[in-house]
Amino acid sequence: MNNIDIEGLTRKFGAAQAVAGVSWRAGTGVHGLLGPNGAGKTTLLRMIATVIEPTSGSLRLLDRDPGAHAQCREIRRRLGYLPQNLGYYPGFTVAEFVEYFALLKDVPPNRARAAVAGAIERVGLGDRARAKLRTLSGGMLRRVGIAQAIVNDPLLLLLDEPTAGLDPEQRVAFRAMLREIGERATVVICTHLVEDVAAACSEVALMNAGRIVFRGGPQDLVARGERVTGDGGSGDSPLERGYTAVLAQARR
Amino acid sequence: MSAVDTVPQRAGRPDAARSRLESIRILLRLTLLELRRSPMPLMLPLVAALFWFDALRTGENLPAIWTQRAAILPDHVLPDLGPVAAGMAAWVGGREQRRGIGDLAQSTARPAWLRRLAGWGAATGWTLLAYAACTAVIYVLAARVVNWGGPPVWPVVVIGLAVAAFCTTGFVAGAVLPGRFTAPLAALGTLLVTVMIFQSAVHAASGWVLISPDNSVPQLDWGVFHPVPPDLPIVQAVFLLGFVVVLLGVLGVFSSVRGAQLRRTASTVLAAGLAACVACLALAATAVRGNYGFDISLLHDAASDRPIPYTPVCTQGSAIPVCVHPVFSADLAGASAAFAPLLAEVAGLPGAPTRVMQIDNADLPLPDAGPGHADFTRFDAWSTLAASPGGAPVLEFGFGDPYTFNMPGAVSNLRDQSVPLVIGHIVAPNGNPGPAQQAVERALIQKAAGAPADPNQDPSTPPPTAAVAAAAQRFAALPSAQSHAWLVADLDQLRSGQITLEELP
Amino acid sequence: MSTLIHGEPAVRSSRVATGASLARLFQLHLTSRRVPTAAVALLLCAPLLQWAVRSALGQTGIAGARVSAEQLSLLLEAVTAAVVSAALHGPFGESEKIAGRRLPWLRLTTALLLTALALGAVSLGVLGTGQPLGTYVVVRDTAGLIGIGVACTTLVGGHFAWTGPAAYWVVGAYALTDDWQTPWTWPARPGDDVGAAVCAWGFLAVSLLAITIFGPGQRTHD
Repeated sequence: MNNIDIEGLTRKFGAAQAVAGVSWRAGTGVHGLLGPNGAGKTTLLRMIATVIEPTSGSLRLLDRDPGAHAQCREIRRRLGYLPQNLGYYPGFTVAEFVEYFALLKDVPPNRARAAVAGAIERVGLGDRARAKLRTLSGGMLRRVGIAQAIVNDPLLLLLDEPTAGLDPEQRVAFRAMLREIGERATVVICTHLVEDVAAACSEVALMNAGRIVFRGGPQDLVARGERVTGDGGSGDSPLERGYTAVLAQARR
Repeated sequence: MSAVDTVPQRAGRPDAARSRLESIRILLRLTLLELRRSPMPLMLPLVAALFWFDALRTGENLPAIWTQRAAILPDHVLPDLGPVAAGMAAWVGGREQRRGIGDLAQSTARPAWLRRLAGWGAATGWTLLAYAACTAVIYVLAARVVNWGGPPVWPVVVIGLAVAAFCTTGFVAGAVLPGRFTAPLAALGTLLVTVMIFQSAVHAASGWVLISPDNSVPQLDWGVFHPVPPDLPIVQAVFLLGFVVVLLGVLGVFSSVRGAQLRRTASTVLAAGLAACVACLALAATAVRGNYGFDISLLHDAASDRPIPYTPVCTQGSAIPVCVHPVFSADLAGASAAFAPLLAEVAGLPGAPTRVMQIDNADLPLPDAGPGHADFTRFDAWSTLAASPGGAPVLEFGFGDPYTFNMPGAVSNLRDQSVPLVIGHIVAPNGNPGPAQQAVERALIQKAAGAPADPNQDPSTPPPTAAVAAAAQRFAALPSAQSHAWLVADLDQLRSGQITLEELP
Repeated sequence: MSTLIHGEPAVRSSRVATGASLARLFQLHLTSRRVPTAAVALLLCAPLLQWAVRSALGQTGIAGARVSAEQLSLLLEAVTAAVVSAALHGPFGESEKIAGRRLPWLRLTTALLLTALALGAVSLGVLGTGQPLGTYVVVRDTAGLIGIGVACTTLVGGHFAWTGPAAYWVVGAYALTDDWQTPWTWPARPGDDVGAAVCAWGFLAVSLLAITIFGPGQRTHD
């Protein structure tokens, strides 16, 4: 079953078209979503997260229609989402913040405590569970955001710039966690860091100007970079070269 | 076993009852979490300062009567606490937008309405906690000085609901219109509405404005001789509850952008609250100031107008006792002093009052008073002569406006009113006093009031002749014992007109 | 503008460019403080004040109608002070605080502009109503309340600055009812009272200076 099934999806904000016809199917595994600023990645992710509705097109998540209220609610119970700009309540502790979202996501109250403790441990903040959020660094806050996203053991996990502020060691641990979750859930990470994609993703989609201009495995993207000679493919790593090569071609 | 596997969906559709129960459990858990971390306690120092400055200091000077002390709640606690709570709640209500947590919260399964109800519950909980503390302080201090009766419950209920209404107004305003100006406008806007409605309602004897819980100053003896009818408090309480329900319905409609069923539920809630408010406004419009409070004919139970039994507190060892209601026992000495000169002159005479009794102000025939309305704007006290069930004369009196009352003024009023009344009844019970009766009246008034009778006091009475005035002077100059003994022996003849001016001592 | 251009026309056009950029900076600063919204709110206080005072004074024959009108007037003055103090809140935090030397002037100019709008609004609000205290007293009281509000903005930030004017209204209402004589309860003092004028206008001046130098307070607690 494809947990994400999109056909011809568009989204407009006034006259600006942020997503201009995206078709995509994603099943179990870790999927990377790359693209330059303003490509529509975050907008696409927000539609999949059921935060905003598409202007047109078809969207099915976990074999359900998010446009129907009852089915949307079922989707959200199995959904984990980390937005690009994570808001938080400074007075809450780490545990309280994760518990808050666990309860909102319908984690049964009698299992919530265990789920919260497990999620916090998984992101390496077990010793800071009682710390107030206002005392945490940016990277720690990001990990709290990841913890609330995974507290309900989601079948669909959407992460927008999840490793921003994480140090290399934490990024390594985070990628391992993603691979583990990806064995039974659909994980979409939207990122600028190609090494995250290289290390964790089984599939990559590259967006530009509201459309998906490349879809395939990381090796396929590397291969695109190696095929280009002279007119693109700049970058410090094979994946970066593939990324720039595809973008250059899409913009021609 | 993951968290999501234990989400109750065993047969494909959630069990409705279990789902509702779980919703309630989740709402309670969220509310407890919000209570622990609510910023509402930030308002407590300010509320405490305003409470001390306004409510406590005013309360110290109020009469030691439960209804008067309970009036602190609508007149001072509500304006001190309500607007501050509204402002803080508006700030809490706008939290999601201010903290950028909207998208994240939007992506969760539980409805936004439930999420916001938890925040509202916490804000209102803290507000009611502050209110309970203020009420407890006022009632404990009152219990130390009030020596009769029990603390009224209705003011506590009504003002508690009013405070909750303030808080809810602010929270919904903050949630619907988040912004930097929402909190100050919610705080000062609600205060403005309160002040304006109070100024319209404080002198109103009827009308829909009486729906305001902050609507009038209770008469001094409301709740003393008769219970205050609960008609208006009931309507006010239901109105305020309906108002809170309306606001929560608005919050639900605003929060339920998706979900037609939720929107329908919220609209139903809103409509129910609105219906309650309109019905209560209509009932309040029929309220009129009655003898002992405000009456609403559709709700009024005449049985509740029965007087409250009490044992009066009286002077001891005097021929004519002066009695007051126990709650006014501190004023017994003043009342006794007011009547002492008169009672000393008339004790033992036929027609003298057998006792002096404080009664319900509503039963006093004051000038310019409406039906059962004791208008004390010009007097601190009033007295009248009545007949007891057995026919014996009783001098009755009452004390006036609690906010302007002063005992020296009351003593002066009582003396000026009662002296000519009683003496006239004794000397000339049938009216039309003859010259000798006029002279004795004038003399006794002078003795009892401590000043000569004022010839201009009653413009309908012609001024005394020189002979009457001279005879009155002569009688007034007698020692009290001698004049009293003469009256005991010859009063009947004086009353029947058989004694001439020249025969007066 | 090229630095290779010399002479008077170059200097003049440089000044024009600087002036234009300053004006633009001021406009952006006003927008960040939501001054247009504040201005609308302040101007709406004028008809509200007209209506409130007239309706209070119209209750003829009611004892205390005059005091009621004065208290309502004071309350709406507190509303203007709350709006001004909320508008001065800075949304940018530390990144703005270290921005540069023009920021204090921006703060002061914004505060003066909002104060002028508020004073103008209350003056219009009592025009022709027969407000017992008179226009100058209303303006003086508003100035003092704005001073309290701005001081609160400096100390605790714009989110809670309204608590100052709201609390002072309670004090002022008592002062009007009981005719207090102290100059720091300026709402109860007549227009020719020097002490009240010093307190009210002085409070405003000190607060404006404080917010110019220190800026609005910032809180991280929610």
